[in-house]
Amino acid sequence: MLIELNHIQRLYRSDEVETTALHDIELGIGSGEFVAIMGPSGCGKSTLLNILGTIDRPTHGAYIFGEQDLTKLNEAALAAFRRENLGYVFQSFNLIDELTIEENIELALIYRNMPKSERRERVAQAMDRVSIGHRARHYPSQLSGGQQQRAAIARAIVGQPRLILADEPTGNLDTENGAQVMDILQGLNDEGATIIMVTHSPSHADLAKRRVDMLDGQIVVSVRNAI
Amino acid sequence: MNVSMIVAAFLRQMRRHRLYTVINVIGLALGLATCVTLGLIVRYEFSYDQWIPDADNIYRLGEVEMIGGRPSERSQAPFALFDPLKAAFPGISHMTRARPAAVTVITASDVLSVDATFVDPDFLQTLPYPLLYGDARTALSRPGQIILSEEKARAYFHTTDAVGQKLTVDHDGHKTDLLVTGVLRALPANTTLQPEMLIPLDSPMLGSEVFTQWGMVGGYLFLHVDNPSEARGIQAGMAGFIAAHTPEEVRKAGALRDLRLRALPSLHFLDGEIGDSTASRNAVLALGLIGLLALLSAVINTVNLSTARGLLRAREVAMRKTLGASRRDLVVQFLGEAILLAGCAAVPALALVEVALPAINALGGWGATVSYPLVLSGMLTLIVLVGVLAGAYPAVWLSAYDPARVLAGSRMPNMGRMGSRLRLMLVIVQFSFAIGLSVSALVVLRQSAFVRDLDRGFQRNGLLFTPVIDDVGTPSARVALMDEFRRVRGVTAVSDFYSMPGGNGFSTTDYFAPVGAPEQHAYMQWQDTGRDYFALFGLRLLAGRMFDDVHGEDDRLHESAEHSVVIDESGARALGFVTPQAALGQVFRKEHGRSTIFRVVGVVNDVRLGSARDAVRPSVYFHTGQPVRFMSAGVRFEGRSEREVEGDLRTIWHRMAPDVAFRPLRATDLLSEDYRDDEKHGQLLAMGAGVAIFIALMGMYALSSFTVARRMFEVGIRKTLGATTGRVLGLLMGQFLRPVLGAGVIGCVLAWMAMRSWLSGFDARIALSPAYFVGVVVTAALVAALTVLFQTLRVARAEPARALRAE
Repeated sequence: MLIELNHIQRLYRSDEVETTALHDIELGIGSGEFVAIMGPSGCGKSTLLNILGTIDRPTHGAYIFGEQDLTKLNEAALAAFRRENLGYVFQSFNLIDELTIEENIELALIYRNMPKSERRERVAQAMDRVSIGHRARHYPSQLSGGQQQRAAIARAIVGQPRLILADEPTGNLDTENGAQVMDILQGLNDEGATIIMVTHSPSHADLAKRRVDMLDGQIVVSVRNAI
Repeated sequence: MNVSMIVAAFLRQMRRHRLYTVINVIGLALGLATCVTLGLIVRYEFSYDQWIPDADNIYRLGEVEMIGGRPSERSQAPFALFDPLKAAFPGISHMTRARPAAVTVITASDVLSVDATFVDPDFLQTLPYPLLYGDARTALSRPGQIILSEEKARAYFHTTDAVGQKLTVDHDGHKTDLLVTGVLRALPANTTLQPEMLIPLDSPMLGSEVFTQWGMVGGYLFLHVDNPSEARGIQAGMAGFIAAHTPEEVRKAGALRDLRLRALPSLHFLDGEIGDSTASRNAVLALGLIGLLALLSAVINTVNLSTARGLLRAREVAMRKTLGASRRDLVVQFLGEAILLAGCAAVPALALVEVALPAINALGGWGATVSYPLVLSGMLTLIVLVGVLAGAYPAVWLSAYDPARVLAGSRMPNMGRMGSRLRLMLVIVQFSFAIGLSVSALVVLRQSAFVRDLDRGFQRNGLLFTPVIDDVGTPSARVALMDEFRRVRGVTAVSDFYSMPGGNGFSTTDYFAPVGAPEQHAYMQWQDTGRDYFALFGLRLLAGRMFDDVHGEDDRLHESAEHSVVIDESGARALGFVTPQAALGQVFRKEHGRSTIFRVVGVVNDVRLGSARDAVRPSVYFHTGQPVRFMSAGVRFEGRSEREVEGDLRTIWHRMAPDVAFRPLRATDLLSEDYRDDEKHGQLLAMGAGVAIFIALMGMYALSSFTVARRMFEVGIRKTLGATTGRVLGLLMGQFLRPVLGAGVIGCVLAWMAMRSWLSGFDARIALSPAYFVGVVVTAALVAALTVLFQTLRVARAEPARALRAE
């Protein structure tokens, strides 16, 4: 098992209100899986994805990745973990406006202290993989939404991560561009990448190998899709 | 868009964004106050002598002589020029000599030393100072008259109408009752020559060598012409005049290179003798520049904060446009807001000017006043100017927002990049100025300290002088006085001498040549010395011997064909001797006048009595067994406090010379004139640098609070991709420190150029060490880092999920 979530709980506290975003989540994901998480807005999908991506911490419970309990790691160790193991794709692409597409993708490698020549080579490969190489020197604002999301996928895969997390990757795209992005994700999964994707689209969820439905901070259904 | 809507929008912005408002108002108030205060100082400095009627047709004549191989213009000139000049240039309508000299005023209750000015009868026709009482045509027409300043008249006669009163004045041992024939109206502080008493020159004085010898500088020469073209004609004819009238040896030695006419209003900015009340035009202009740059720095803050906040107002702009506002309406709104902001800053700025001006006046010895009609009209102009400067770019930029894109939620990265480049550039300008100013202040203050502590070749501590003791009485009386001084406990040496440190007292130069080598012209300072002079000043003997009583030929007052002299190292070189030893026993003589031969019996180290700006003059020391005219007395003491020794000296003085004022001077005070102005300028530069840095840091703090918050999203992405807090912190800090370091390079280059030029005006100067530049840049970077550290750290430590939610 690549990932094990044991009794994960996430509370948000403000001065007067305590909100439970995740309630006693138990989930195991094997290596090479493609899991789609679905559910209505506010059910805790993105919170779960953030915890899986270690950019948010659970209030209670254990998050085991491989052999390691990530809830025990400090901030610096988590940063190192993310560098080496994770790739992200966001609904709103989250590219940095001031950097070119090439520089945005390279950013994922910069924190690995990789030599520049190797970085450039890997960036070029990643851009080719999502057919965005001709836009390398453009800024995000000069690209269409579909192109920006392909660039974001290139950034997610350039570090050859063990896990790709995609938060509504097609949410801001039209049908055609959404289909292209799903093709790429499926292709990556076929090549062995483990992918966890939050989506509102049942048809895109059906393209995953497994589907997890959430409601009110809990997992209510976890089924394997027929291939 | 009407005014009330602009005001309403402005007030809403002020309430909502308090940090932005406070920083802008404080910055602009400081900038405006600095600009107005220094503007008033500059105006004051440029107003010198402008009040005098026909000031532009009044000129001072100064001689240009070669000192240390370079031409040096003096404020004074040889009085031997007076009659030949008048004869040669009929265009001179009036002309006067003005010789400053200390006199003793004896009243019923006191004996006082006063600085008098001895002048020709034409003085008030040449320099038309207004008289409160008396007739300008006759008040100085005869010897035995005196004109008093309003202050002195009141002090001596308890009334300003002192005409007809008698005043007992002792000068050079001649006690005379002078008739008060006029009282000068109190002169404005911005007057170059401020006489306390004017006394007509009398025959004994006019017959003295100071008035007849070319090698002697007697004082100031002023002349009045009818129009500027006359002055140009006189200046053009000066070379011919010098060739026709100056003795050949004077011309050959380059001692009188040229004579320059300087218009009265320009005198304030000419380098004069030490002690002359002059200012450096560049230093004054630098003050004006500092004021303008401080204001510019505050304007930069406003522009930077407006553009940085642009995104926050994007939605407002979009909504206004959607609701029908034209681009012009928006430009008017934003310009109006900027002008209102400057207006808000003007109120505290005026209060700051009122508080700061007296302090700045006290520091610089200025008399600038806040003239409200002028200051208010100036402030109003500045408010509009600052408003337009600060508001123009944000107004044009903000009003260009595309409402559809803004309301659709997409950002405007191109505008953002342009804005951030502009901000970067402006921050570089701000810090370049602040760093350049700081380096300059540091160098000026270091140089002032260097001049203060400069090894002048003599011991300055424990040294008291009483200038020009002629009034004490006969030479024997003066010797007796000095003998009494020697008996004071703690006194180790007493001597009389001619030239005082700091350029005070008298200075005589002459032309000498070794016997057998007449082509070796040596232009040397003549120093008459009494017994123990070398011990008094603590000079080191490099070869030979000092003067003593055993060798009768040492005393130049003894009739003899040969006299012993001691020269200094520079003197030995000027006479063509390679080493001090080589000069021993050598003989030389004056190039003109008597044919007395001088034999070198000793060589001492060089002494710098004059300014650190001028090269050390070669000196020749003569020994006089008794005090001659214009000699001062000096006392060296140790083991007792200065006050105790001075008290004892005063008691002796009052016993032995009851009719003469005792006026002790400290060597350290006399020398302080050499660096006081520079120290003052250094302090003003440092204050300017402090204001500039404070404004720049305030701007950086506010800018960091906006931009760091704006980069929260980026920080989220970077941390999601594995960046540690340290890396993010480094990235964000780098964003702020890079422009500071870039500005450091620009500021240092500018400061290096300015300071190299300034230091080149000094003969004795510090090296322009890289430590000054590195020190200032590192300090500026550290202070800037501390300024932005807290906010940067807060964002860098944010959890990535929270940071991404911020978007």
